[in-house]
Amino acid sequence: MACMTYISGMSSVNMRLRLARTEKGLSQQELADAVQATRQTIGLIENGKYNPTLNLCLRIARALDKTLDDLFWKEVDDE
Amino acid sequence: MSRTPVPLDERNIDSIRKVCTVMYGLTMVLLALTVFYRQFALGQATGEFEDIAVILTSNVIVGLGALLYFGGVALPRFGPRALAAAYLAFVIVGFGFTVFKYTVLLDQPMSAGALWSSFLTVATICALFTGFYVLAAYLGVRRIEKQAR
Repeated sequence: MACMTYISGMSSVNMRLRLARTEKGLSQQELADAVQATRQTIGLIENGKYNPTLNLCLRIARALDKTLDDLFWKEVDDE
Repeated sequence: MSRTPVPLDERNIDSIRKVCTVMYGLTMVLLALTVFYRQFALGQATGEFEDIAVILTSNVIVGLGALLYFGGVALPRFGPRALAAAYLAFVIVGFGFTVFKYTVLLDQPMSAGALWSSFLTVATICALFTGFYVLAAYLGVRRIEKQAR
């Protein structure tokens, strides 16, 4: 239950991405290598400081076995 | 990531493009200031900075044309009235600057004949520029619409 609360609290894009990456057991560098990006770019996306292109979003979603909606869909409240 | 010795991803490339754009704009402004400084502060003859002026002019002309072509700005869709207004604005600014340059900055009063002659020159050059930009924009839009189909 505590876990569910923790997860539902992480609704923003950056937190969902970080959570999906750690669930998959990947470091930022490993994810960056998998999606042909730099570690800094992954860090910036996770911190909400960089808007990736659709191509990079797709590569990240595929690498983490998630859909675009799972990772990048924004509810009005998130924006 | 690109296959370069330095690993670059889309963010790096985007940042590089932004910096290059700003630096290019700054270079053009500084070149223009250099031309003005040489002409009006140092009083140099036109021939002494013609090379800079040619680089500056060709870059601005080709640069704006390339922006319209590759950017695919739908300039022709503004309609003939808007284009005529833009042309008129070009002529007024160009002619105004020419008169200001000779009468105020160079202190060479212009005769009626010289005024008419410079007006015709400015009007012709502006017509060529406007025509070139409209053509570049038209071809750019056509190219993008072709790709989008």
